[in-house]
Amino acid sequence: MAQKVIIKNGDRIERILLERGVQRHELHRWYAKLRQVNPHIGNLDRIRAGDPVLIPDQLNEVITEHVIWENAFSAIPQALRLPWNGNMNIMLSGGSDTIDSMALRVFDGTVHSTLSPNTLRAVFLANNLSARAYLNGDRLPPFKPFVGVPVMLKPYDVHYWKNEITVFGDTLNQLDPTTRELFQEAGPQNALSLAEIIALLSDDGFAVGADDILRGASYGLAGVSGYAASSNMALSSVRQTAQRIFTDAVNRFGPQVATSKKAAHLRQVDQFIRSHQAFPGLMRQVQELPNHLFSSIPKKIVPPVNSTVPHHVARHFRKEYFQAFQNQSASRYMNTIAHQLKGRVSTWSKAGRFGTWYVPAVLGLYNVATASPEMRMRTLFEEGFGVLGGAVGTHLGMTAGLGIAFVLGLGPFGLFIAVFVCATAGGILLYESGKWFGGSVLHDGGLQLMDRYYNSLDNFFESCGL
Amino acid sequence: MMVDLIIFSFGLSGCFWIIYVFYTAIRIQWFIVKRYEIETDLMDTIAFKEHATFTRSLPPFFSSAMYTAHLLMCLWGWPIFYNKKPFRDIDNPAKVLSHFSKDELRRVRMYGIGGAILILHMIVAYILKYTRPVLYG
Repeated sequence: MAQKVIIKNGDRIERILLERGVQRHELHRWYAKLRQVNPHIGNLDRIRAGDPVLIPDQLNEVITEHVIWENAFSAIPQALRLPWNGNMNIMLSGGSDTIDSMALRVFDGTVHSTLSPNTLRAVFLANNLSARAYLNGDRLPPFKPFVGVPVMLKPYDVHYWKNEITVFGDTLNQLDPTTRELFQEAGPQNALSLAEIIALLSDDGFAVGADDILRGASYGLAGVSGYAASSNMALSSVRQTAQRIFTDAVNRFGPQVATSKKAAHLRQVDQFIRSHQAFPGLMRQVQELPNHLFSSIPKKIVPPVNSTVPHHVARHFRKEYFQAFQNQSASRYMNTIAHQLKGRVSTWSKAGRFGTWYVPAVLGLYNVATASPEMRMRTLFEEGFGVLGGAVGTHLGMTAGLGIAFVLGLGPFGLFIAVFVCATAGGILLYESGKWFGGSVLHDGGLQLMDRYYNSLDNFFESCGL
Repeated sequence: MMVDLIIFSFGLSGCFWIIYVFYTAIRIQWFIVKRYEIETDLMDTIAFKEHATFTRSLPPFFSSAMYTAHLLMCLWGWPIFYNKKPFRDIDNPAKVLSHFSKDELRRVRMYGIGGAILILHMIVAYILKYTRPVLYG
């Protein structure tokens, strides 16, 4: 089992390995293994006191991802695990950036910049799942967006931003090269400050150079980032108020009534919520939600007033808002849908069932009842073995069809056609054969044998010498 | 007369094999659908993930035919199918066969034998029907 070693002053990986009995000629292989299981260490020769290093017992030991990352994040101090309430910093990688250099840039100017570079690297890797593809020491691709928040985000936020950052990446790629480079070099906060200064100067009547105005366009991007933060804050306040009202409802009626789906209980809880003192506040918060979270039908026809928020960004946030409802029980809305359908679906399914089974069955039974006894007996033999043969033929045909399709290595569509054709052919062929076996041979042949050659079964057995 | 007796026996035999194969197919269906779809990860093999993708959507009687065919390929057809595209993730047929008991594999074998006999009957029946239509049409 791999062992976690906390590095002390003066420790070196080489010495730790040699003390553990590793031969010198094996060191390079152990280094490769350690690089693999310690992704938070950029350079094994540059470790600091306090860095946790995972050392396997054997070279071929398999260590799970969970253990590797748990060790990697174990050195991150509590101060870097606090929730992040500021704007989401998005950083663009430069042409020569590596994971380590990006991690240093994230913490540049913060009080935590003096922490071990390996800890900073661990925070960066924790926040950016996409960066884990570049652990082999290669440079990061230029103009790739990364989360540049100087704290360790919660797992939910990490996964949220993993998808979200692609949206911002698209937006950044639409900017002109000058603005993109400004953002890349100065980072989001400085770009925003610069843009604000330019905007203030312009408002006060100062003439700002064309290049500066171009750079000022990056304000748009930072604005989008701010929009995202404001949306999250607005939604969280709505959720908090709603949660408070719901807690009061639970205290008043008990959890069973508060979560009940019965109409009487729903009405009771609804009345309580509407009369709650926080309800007007909740409604006001909902009304004040950023416009891009909702789009009514007239708004969909014309483009949004705020042109800095592209459609796909707005669509993304709208989706996020409605995802808030996904934890509700499906029976809530399924009951409503069923009520609105008013049994129309079951009417059609009943009609289908009657048309397919009951009506032909009644017609068939009528024909059987009105037929002569001889015809009835012959139909029983002929159609009985015909239907049975058809079923067996379809079954065998499908078996053969799959064999043919697999020999030819056909894909889903070709295989479906092959199986369908073979099943149909098998069904028809054996249906006809079954009819012949049961009707012409077994029934008619039997009667002929009985009538023409034998007077009775005894006669038949006598002639057979039995 | 002897010919009539032989034809009658042949018809009787055809009817017997129809009933027998139908019965065997139903007996196989009772275990094979559950085994492939619920109890094992055989549906995650390439044969059903990339080729016979619609099998799960078929009614049990028909999907059991597909599973029976797959099993027969591993049981008898391995020399033919071992290098075929749908079996590229199965290097040993035991990976499939180990999920089935001896008795279950025997039923599948009997289905294969019964099916072959029935198809032979069918071929003879069609030959008789079309060569001597006056007597046996």
